[in-house]
Amino acid sequence: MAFNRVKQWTTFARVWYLFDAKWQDPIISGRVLSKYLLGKNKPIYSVGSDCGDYVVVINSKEIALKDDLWRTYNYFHHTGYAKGATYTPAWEYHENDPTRIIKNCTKNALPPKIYRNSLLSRLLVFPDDKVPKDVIKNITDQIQPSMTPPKRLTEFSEDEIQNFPRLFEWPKEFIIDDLKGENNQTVKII
Amino acid sequence: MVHLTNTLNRFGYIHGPHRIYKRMQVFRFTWHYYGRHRRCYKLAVQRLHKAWLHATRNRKMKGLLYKEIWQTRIDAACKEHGIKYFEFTESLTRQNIHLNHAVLNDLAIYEPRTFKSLCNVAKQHIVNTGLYNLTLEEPEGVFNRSMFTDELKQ
Amino acid sequence: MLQQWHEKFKIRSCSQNVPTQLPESLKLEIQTIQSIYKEKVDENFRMGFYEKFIKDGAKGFSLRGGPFAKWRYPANKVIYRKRLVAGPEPERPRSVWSNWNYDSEIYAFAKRLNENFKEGLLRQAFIDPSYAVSEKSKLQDIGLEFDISQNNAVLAKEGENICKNYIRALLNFWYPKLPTQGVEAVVEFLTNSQSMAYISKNIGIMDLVKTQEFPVQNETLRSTLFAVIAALSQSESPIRAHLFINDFVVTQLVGKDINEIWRIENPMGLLCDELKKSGNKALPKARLIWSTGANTPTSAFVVGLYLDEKFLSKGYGETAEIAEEMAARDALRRLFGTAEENAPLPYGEKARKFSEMINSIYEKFKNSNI
Repeated sequence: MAFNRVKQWTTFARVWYLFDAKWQDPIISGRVLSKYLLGKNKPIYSVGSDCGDYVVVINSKEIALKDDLWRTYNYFHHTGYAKGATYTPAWEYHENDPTRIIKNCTKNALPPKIYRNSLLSRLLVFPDDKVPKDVIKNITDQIQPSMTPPKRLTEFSEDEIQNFPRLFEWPKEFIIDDLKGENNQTVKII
Repeated sequence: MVHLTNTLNRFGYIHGPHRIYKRMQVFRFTWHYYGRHRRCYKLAVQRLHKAWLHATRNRKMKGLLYKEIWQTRIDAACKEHGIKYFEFTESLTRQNIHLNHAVLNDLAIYEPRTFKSLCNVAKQHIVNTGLYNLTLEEPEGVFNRSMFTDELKQ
Repeated sequence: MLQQWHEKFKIRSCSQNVPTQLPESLKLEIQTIQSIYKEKVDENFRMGFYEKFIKDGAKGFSLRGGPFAKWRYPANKVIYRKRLVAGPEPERPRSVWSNWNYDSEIYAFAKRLNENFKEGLLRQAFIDPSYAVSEKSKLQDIGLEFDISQNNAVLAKEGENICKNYIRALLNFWYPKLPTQGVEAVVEFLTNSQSMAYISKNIGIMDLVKTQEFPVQNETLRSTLFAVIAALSQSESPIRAHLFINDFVVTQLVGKDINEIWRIENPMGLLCDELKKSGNKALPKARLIWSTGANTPTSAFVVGLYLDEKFLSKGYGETAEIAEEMAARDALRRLFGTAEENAPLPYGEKARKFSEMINSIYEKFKNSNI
């Protein structure tokens, strides 16, 4: 049964996906990645079958958290001894290991079962876009990012800024400091 | 106790069946249990009756669990063709295509081309009636093979 | 405790169920089984129920307590262990039992298949040549004569020709593009001793065939089935025999792929030859369509074959080489008209419509071979 053997092999082959985490919310993207790790993106999905895919995440250094979460969200840890509780804010947590937040978010999105660690072993996270060549050769497909990365004010050209539609014009007395200039300070009113 | 039928027996007293046979009936269901619950009658009967209660209760849940799995499968198959699960089912019901969840599941796995044509029917219906806002165009930031074909030819 | 029960309740031996007419070789086997028991059969058990009842009365009678008595539980265990020690009963031909009636079985065989056999031909079809030789030597000692020529050797040859030619004609009708090598491979698969013996066992030929050997070998079963087919064509009509082959022999293809029965060793070479024959100068080119996990042991490749930048076929595999080979196989089965999307062979009433067309092809084959 050579035809059927090969057909079976390709249907159950693990697909390697690429995910660009630049300007992505790790909580939302963790929910998306968990579906790929579980195999819920395939019509052959079943609860017992181990049909999950591999996911390679790049640019995890440049993830974006919602609101003021970098400052307010705390990661809790307890040593087990008295007064052993520690609260590390997200920005500190991210500075220590830039791959850690997105891993944690996908872990939380997965069901709390014993196979969770084996699924997470198929999640490869890299802080930059520097990925080893062996990994890149395996990749076939790309996961669609949920958020489009926004454009900064510095990235716009001057013509675009001037031609941008505006409701009203500032009075001549109102002076905005040039952001690129040396005297980069807050807005002054003379 | 009065055994009137025993008067017919000339040779001795007729006893009922021995208790071992009643126990054997129970042990037939408890061979796979752990420890003394498989071999001690008193424990085995208690465990067996509880197991039967669970079985009657969970029989209703079986259908619901299956429907949950079918929904995830159909959702996955729909996403391959750029349509969402609820959009797909809603448009099929409005067109009087009353296909079961079980049937759609089988089509998604074993007859992907039939499922693709069903998806196309649903998409066209949504575009014609304006039920939902479909995102039929390809999203930005996703690379396609067609982008590289021109380079390869050169 | 079991040993106590064992001594108390001596068990009825299985020798009571042995039929009266037994060959000597089987008698020896049964004696060896009895020697394993190492017990003399008790007189009480040999007598039976009523004789013992009359002699001893109800006192000490073993059936006391009914069918679910306490003592039966350990006693049954002893019986079960003895059965395991003695092993399974030896295989014996059905004709050993006293209720065997060969004439009525032959009559029933024809009625079961819903065919009108000539009885003399059918009886001759079941006689193996080895049986005829031994039977003649036996009857000579008594002083009777036996016609040794009355065996199925000639019928089997005729039946084999009918069967093979009809399958060839049928495959030619349904798969006109399939080359002769492929047809011959399928014919050999359908008429080899294994599949033919499977059919004849399930029809009931195994009990009816007269041979010297036991258990009956696959090749004798094969030759008798051919002889039955020839007897059918002689007694009724050759068309009736063709329908018999269609219903019993060709149905062995259900759930099987013809492309896997015919094992092609070099599919790419065969594909190039086939394309050259059809007049294509260009050779097919292989291109990688899709791959995943190329560096891992669980890699998967999809390779497509293109002829003049037009799609020919697609193949999957663990490596690119296997995928290319499978693509060539896929192209071949598309060329020969035996691909997956083609309809399966019709059987039963649907196939009856095409019997006349197949028979016309059959007669060409029949004439060409002779």
